[in-house]
Amino acid sequence: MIRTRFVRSLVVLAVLAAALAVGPTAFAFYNYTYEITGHASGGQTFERICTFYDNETGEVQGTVSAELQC
Amino acid sequence: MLRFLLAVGAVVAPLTGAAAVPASSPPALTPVAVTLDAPRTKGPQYLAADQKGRLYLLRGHRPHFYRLDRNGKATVWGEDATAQAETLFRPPLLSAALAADGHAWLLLTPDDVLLASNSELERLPDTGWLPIRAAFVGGDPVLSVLPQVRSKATAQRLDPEHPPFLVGLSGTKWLPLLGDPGAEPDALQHGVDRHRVARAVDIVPASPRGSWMAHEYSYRLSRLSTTGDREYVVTLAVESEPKHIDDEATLIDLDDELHEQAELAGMGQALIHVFTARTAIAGITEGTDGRLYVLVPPGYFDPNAVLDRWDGARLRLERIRLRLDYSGLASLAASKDGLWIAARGSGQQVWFLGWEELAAASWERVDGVERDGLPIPHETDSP
Repeated sequence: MIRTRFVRSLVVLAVLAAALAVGPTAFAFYNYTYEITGHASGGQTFERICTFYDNETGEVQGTVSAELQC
Repeated sequence: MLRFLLAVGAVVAPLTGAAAVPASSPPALTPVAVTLDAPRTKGPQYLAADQKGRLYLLRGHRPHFYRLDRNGKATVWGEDATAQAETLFRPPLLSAALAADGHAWLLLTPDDVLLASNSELERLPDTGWLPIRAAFVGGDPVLSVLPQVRSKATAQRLDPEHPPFLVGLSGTKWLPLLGDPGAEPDALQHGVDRHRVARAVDIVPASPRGSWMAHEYSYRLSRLSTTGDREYVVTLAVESEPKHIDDEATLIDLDDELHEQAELAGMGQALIHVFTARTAIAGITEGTDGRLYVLVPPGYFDPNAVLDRWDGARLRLERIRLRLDYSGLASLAASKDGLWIAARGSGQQVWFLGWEELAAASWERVDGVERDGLPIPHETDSP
């Protein structure tokens, strides 16, 4: 029984070590708002954008362009 | 998972070969890996040299600044600016550039444009456009911007019908410097990212005056005047247009990852647009020989990284391959002794190649080079 638990613990540790070796996801995001329509009618429309980037390199990975809070 | 797949890809790509390499090609050079004694931090690193060839380093999303000696030994620079960054600076750091005289770093975050000198960190006026890259042109701060008007109370009021590409700081106002990015919006990307592909650029000083500008997502080099006007553009007859990630498994994985991250960020069923454009030019710098050195990341033209040098006097583009284990953007810096290369991320690795070694390398002429869209005549392309 103790041996089984020990082996299980080793397996868990091995999995955790493998996960750490690969590393956590490096994505992060920032958001901003910008105007998406002009001023012809006198009105303005805004859209909120989330830009995901690689937290290590700063390179952009993708965007969320829906009207959502982020 | 994505990270794992990309890591596997990075290992497999050099073995499978991203492009055919002629059997007669000279072997790739191996730059010397340099261990800097500056602490590694989370986030990007930028390495730059001033006009006297002195080296400067910036590390972290909340930046720490250093001066480097010729052996890579670091001393703290801008201690006061670093201290002020603890309260003033709102990460992440999106872009950074060193002034030609080394007196200041220009820093760009999603919220602010800041100038860090040895003694202080100063917040600059808010350009009303969405800035994506920072640079200096003729000694003045310059930003490349997306053609979207920002809705911030502090934002400068602008004309959305006439978006600029580069804006320069004049007193307390950002004024248009260059209107045309010289590249079309990318039809394969969505929304602001269409313009990001055309407008993300690296700008460095050129001698005796002016600047060099390189697009990050297409092979396109421009010489700019002191006032930011485009003097000429160097492209390739083929392979100058943006390349995209075309591996379906990677795209699916990226999409999954972004959905997962959007969920974690509480964005629910959001519209996700994967950014697929690949980095074409990782970094540029002018060498002490007056040539423009251009780093292309591994897997773009060749399984190895590629170092090009453009000789504007002889109208000649030459290439060698480099064994560099990294991906994406990088900094290039020209010291008196040689060329320094710093991976933007990738464990913040740094490499060095001496000018003598570079001069003795077997550079191969790149064919199909065009200047302002016209092939360079062979009579001017002399050996």
